Amino acid sequence: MNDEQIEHFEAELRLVKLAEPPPALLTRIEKLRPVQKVQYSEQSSTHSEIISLSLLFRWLIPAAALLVAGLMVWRSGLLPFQDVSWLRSAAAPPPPVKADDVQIDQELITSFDAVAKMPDGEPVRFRCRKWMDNVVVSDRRSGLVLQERTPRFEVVPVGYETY
Amino acid sequence: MATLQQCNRVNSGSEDDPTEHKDWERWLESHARGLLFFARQQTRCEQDAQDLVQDAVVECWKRHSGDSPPPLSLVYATIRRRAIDLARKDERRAGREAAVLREEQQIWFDSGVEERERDRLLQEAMNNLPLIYREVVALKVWGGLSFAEIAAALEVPANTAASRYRYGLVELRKLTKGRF
Repeated sequence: MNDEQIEHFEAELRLVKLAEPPPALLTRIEKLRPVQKVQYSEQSSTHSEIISLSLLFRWLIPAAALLVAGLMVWRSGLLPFQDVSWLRSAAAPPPPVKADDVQIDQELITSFDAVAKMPDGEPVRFRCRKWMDNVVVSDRRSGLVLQERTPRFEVVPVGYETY
Repeated sequence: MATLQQCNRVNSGSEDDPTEHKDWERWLESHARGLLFFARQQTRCEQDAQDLVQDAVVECWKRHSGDSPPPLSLVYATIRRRAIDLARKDERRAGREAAVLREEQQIWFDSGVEERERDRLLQEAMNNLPLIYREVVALKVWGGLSFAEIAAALEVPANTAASRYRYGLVELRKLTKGRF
């Protein structure tokens, strides 16, 4: 078949019309048709209200924060003679802890020796000890006692010559 | 309650935007024949073909979610994918459906009295054409798709689609025994 024959055959095929689809199928599809646009338009009033409110809040909150900050700066900076102790008391950090007693203690929990062999066959002894470190800081004036207990593991290689 | 009403509205489609409704109707009228014809090439049973068209159209329309109808190549591709899934799932039904189809003898073409014999021959020839050629011929001649769109729908390179089309036409002409 040459190109001309193919084109002719193609043109003839195009003249053959397809049969109409069954009406029941079209009805079925029609019933299932999504109506997103309608939903949008019906809800548009509520939706637009939500959008405008969210836009309003998006700008209103930072603007209000800026205004309050500006007012505070203005009160403390431009009017130094006014009483701003309320501001200081509100912003002042809590007083630091003044420790009048510190106790550091360490308690031996367990102790054992372990023997391992090096790659060349030489034995090495390790002394293993488990400690419990205990730190107590107290501030009697404020009635504060801070205690921290931390376990600690100590491994020390021991040469045979020390025995 | 509001959600329930909203769902009902979606399913009933009673309150409708007329512009969109007309767009939809026009689109469906223009393409339903081609879509169903393509689905018939992909399935063994008329009912499956109709179900494929329905599912693909509704799925693509929802997925596209725009004001305009979904691209045709997307709908054809969806039909094809669903047909492959269906074939895998229902392999066991194949023999039974083929027998049913032979009995049903769906009419694919809109023939007048004079062309009836020719169209019956064409339908038979299409049935005997291997699927890879049949689907390209269906999309190009009756679906009106370009080779680029066919390539997108069938997930093959455009050159492959073009060569399959040419070979398919040659085979189809042989099968129609020179009636065209």
